Amino acid sequence: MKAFQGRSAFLAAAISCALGVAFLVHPDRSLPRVPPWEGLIAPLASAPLSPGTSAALLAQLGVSDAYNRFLLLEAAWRRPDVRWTPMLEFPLDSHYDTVVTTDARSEPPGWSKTWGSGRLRLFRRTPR
Amino acid sequence: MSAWLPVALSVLGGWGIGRWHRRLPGAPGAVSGTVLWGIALMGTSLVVLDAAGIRWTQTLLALPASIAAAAGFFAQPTVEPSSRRERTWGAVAAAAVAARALVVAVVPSFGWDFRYSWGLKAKVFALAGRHDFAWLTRPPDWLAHPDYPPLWSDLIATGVIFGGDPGTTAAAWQALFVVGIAAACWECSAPAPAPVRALAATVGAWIPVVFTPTVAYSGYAEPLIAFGISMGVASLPRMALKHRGAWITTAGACAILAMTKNEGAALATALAIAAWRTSPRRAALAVAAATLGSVACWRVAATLHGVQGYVSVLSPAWVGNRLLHLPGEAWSVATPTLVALLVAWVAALAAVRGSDAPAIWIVVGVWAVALLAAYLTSPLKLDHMLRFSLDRELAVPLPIMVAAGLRDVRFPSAAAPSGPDSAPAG
Repeated sequence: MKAFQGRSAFLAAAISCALGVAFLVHPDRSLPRVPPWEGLIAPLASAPLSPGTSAALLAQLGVSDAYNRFLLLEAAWRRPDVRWTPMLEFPLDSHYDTVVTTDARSEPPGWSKTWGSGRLRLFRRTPR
Repeated sequence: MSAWLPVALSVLGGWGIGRWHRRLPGAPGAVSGTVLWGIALMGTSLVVLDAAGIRWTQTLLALPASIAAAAGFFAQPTVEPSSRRERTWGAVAAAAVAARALVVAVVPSFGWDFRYSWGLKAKVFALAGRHDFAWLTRPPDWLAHPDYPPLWSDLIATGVIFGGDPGTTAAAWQALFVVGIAAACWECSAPAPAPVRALAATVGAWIPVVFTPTVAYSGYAEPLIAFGISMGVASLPRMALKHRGAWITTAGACAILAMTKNEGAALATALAIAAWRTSPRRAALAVAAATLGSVACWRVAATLHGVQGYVSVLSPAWVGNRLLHLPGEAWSVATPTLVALLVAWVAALAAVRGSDAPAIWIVVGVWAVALLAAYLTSPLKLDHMLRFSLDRELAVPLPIMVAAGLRDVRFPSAAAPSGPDSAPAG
């Protein structure tokens, strides 16, 4: 019995070590290391957004909800100093006066583009 | 380099506290004690400063560590004698551990949950100089897990405060956890012969899955809870011997676990139950108090600020349906790695015997029940949860289970060991 338990301990140790090394050499996950949306959102780092600003990120048209969630999270990762909220369209009546888009949509009346880089656009509500 | 500064400060502070701790019988060894108290000191400093309304700064984070390090010079710790053979095999283990720590340290963390949960919160906390409850109440997305206990994000935030990058900081901390897990396994495997203890330490350092440089796991919180459970389990046998230094260690490990993740709180509870069954009541009460206190500390603060997370689904129909589908879903996501992990688990459990067995079985049993409950009551898709979490959750306690299984291994020539090789560590 004691010999069996000793062998069990060594077997567990051997499998554990082997897996540790194997994972290093050949990780069994194939997701891309760099998020595909990183390049799209990266220019936000230099966008003229003051710390503490509340900004809406409009959902990109023609992509999945999951993709849009990651776009929003990437925006937060790139600019954690900004309070991000997801929105489908330009807010009509809201305290949000800053909107960022990631696709080539035209702004409705009352908004004007103040900055752009790549496919990113920053819009602000036009003062009345 | 700045990402490494808070880790270095923690090591200094942990070294100082560890020296005072080692004046008590049953305290952890110099290495594991340094890691344990370094993490605890840094985490406590951040929580206390936040509770006092004081903004986190480089100076205020360096101060407690510097004081603790200075105080350490005045301590006269008990030094356990070690044989030449033990030192030689200790050096072999150190080489294996250093190799793993180096590999972990040089790859900045990049996993998506790291980027959009742990690391993101670290950036937000560092910017605010405190736990930003306003942000946690209205996160950009619930994937950020605003309700999770904050310790891992807090530790990453320290590097950002010192001007470092979150990914580099996380890698630096995780290299420290590698050392801590290995040291805990080295201690837990005593009184096995030195080569076996070196194997246990190597298993600890080369723990599979959780340090894997993949998008699915890089920079996640599992290494920290693997360290916490390793320290806790390693101390349980010494707690049973009524050593004061041991229950302080277990209490510290439980606090770290409970402040890291909900799964960590489950493991801390498992340790508290194991302590209750195997140790003196007063010691077990201290461990339970550390667990409950840490869980309550965060939960009360989060609730008062209105922080919410995923709500478990407790309807019998939901749970029953998940239970029915669990075997099939688990089979559908099974990989060779998962099967190998399960084999290692079974082999490790089969190897544990003697007076240590009840404590290990309790920890593993409670952990398994907690995992099952999480899978059955989660609102998330079952196959997704299993695919991206089952292997890392199984890997968390594996090294310390293996180390506990190796405790009773004896070579024929060392069947009746005597001298320093046979003395329990600490």
